Amino acid sequence: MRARPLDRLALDRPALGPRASGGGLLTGALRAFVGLALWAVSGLAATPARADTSSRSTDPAALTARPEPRIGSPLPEIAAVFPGLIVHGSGVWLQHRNQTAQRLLVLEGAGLFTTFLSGFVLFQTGAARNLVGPTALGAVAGVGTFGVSFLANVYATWAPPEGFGQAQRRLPLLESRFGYLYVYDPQFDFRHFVTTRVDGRLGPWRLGMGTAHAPAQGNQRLELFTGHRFLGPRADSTTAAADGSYLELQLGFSEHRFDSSGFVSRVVESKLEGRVDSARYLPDVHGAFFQLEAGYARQWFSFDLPGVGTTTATSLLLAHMGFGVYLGNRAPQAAGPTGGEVELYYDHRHDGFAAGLKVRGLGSGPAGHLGLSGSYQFSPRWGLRAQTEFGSAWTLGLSAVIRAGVR
Amino acid sequence: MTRTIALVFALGASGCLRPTEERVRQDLQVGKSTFGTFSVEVDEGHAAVRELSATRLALWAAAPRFSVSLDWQSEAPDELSVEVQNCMPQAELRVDPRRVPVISSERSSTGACSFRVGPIGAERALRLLVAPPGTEAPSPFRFAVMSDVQEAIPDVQDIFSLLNQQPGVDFLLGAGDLTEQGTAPELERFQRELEQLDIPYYTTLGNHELGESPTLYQRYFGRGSQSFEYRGVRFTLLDSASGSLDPIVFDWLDAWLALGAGQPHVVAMHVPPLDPVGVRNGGFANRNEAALLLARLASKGVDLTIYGHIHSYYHFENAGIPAHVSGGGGAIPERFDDMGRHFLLVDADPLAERLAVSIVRVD
Repeated sequence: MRARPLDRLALDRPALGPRASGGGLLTGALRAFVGLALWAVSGLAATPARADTSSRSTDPAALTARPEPRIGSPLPEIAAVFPGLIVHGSGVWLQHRNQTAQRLLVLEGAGLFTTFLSGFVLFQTGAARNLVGPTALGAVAGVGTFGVSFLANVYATWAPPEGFGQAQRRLPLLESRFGYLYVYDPQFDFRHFVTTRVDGRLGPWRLGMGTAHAPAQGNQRLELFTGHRFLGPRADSTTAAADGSYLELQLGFSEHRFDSSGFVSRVVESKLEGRVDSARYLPDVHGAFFQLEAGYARQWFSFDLPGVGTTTATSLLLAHMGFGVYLGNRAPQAAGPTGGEVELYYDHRHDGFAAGLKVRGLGSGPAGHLGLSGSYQFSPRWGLRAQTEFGSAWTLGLSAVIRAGVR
Repeated sequence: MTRTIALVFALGASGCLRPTEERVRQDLQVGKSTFGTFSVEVDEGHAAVRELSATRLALWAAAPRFSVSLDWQSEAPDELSVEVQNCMPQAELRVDPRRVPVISSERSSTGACSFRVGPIGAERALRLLVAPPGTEAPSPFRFAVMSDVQEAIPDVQDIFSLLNQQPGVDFLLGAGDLTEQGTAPELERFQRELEQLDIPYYTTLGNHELGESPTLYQRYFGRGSQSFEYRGVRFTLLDSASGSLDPIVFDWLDAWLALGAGQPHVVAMHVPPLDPVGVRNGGFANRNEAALLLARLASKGVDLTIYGHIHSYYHFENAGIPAHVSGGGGAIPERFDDMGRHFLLVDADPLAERLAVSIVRVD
């Protein structure tokens, strides 16, 4: 490790220096907001050519080429956590990766700006009924952006230059799962579920269903969904996608029967789901992704009890923000792709098993739940998927994955 | 092995999955106190013990009618002074056994009733009933509803003075958020403000009472979850301040719903199970739990649900039960709703099984 004088450090960060010091609060906030917009646009609408250069490079030298760090390991890794929690990009800045540090800082700023702006509007309007939908979505996006920015900051510092794996760039025609789900919800007696899921794809279209069934505990859940993929990996394309980024419109229906409690929940939902591979926004950060989702749902509770036969309608704001890491080499091979991914996420759903977070203080109720999911294909056909979520309930699921139509 | 791991995780997680458990345990202690060998227990926690000495018992009434058991392990004092704050006008004290007389009875201008009981003689146990006469049998009456005062405590007299002008209101029912942070000075200030209200105030807590200590509220106002009957109408107040009911409260609720069968039943809580604006989710954290609660209330014939938390007024139906959200006590209002501060008046006629709700605007 070479010692570097302070004046030299300042000279080494031209990308951060003038911008970070220039302008007032408003300018910084506007820049952060523009940054958020640019992040989303650049990620989701990037041209394949650009994606090719950013993430499809197979030249190991291009992936691993990094500047001489300002300070050696493990200080950047430590700095990524603190002060990285407050100043995102601290770790990579110490690794002399100025552009990445700058972009993480912009992402953090965008998250904070959106959070405070949404909070301000919520406070000033008293969460007015006609404004609360988009404003709450803004709050979730803001907090979520801050969260994924921090995770990206840690990953960018800690992970090897090539990451831990690559995205799956071509999907199977059919994926089915069979597994077990444990649910601990203090309000309900059910605990053990058998789960199944079938997900078929043809061109840009997707059709699937999932079930969760507690045989002796009077609880069943059925999900039907369809989707249209505008961008990203597909099942039947002759060429693999540039990376794992995608944009998909989904429509879904779920029926959750609580027969022993006398009610049924039915949800019809529409959402836009997307993924942005990290290298699209952070060119030297490979093997990770940002997961995004926003939508709206209508929910109907049907009560079927002695003397009661009525339905109550309500609505749901759907939002999901996560940061994930690819595992293994999923590039097409003769035997087909293997490998997988893990994702840490926040999901704003208040239905389903996990529902919203409960806290001891003032703010119980509005927040959704946290989750960690992971999947891995040990062979092109066989794999495993695990998922845990924590909200009003704690869930842990494990299922076998069987794929067909893998190219 | 899998079961063991799952159980360990489940137990670890249960602290956050049951955020109201500590308050529920504290509910069970409300109305109980000892001083040496002198012990007091208020039935069903319908009053909080504010002060207890050898010769004096001070209570904060949390229900219009309540009974108290007094026990002395050694010799009882000759006389006992009983003060009931937040007392119903016209409330009387009856002592069992009747041979122990009530020496004096008076009501102060601050809404407190003071009684002197004695000579107690050789008695080692007494039962006290504090209640206004004629309120056991069903008869029409009126009560008011107000919630969500929070930081507007200094302005709450605007509401109280208008409430005092309303004819025939027997008590004010609250659905929480009396204060901004639930600190002791705020709770004391609110109780001082209540001295200007001509009628008693029975309430549950809101999420804003959880700012300092989860159980401080109960020292001042009593149980978060409780149920009482008045003039043939059952009232059940539930602690939903954390956007959830504790499973123990669900068990209590079953018993209260059974008690309320065949009579008008009003259920009030702070956080509504379902926010009428779903995307805001100012309701329970878990929609399934919300439906579970509504299914219980509907199946047992609850006639009216009253909520706070949302700083506006909404009238809707949940599981077929009429629901009123009334958060007009002065906290930061929901904008663009043309509502402002308000309270509700409910005309209850248990004989006709009718509960008619009207709104009174303050601003």
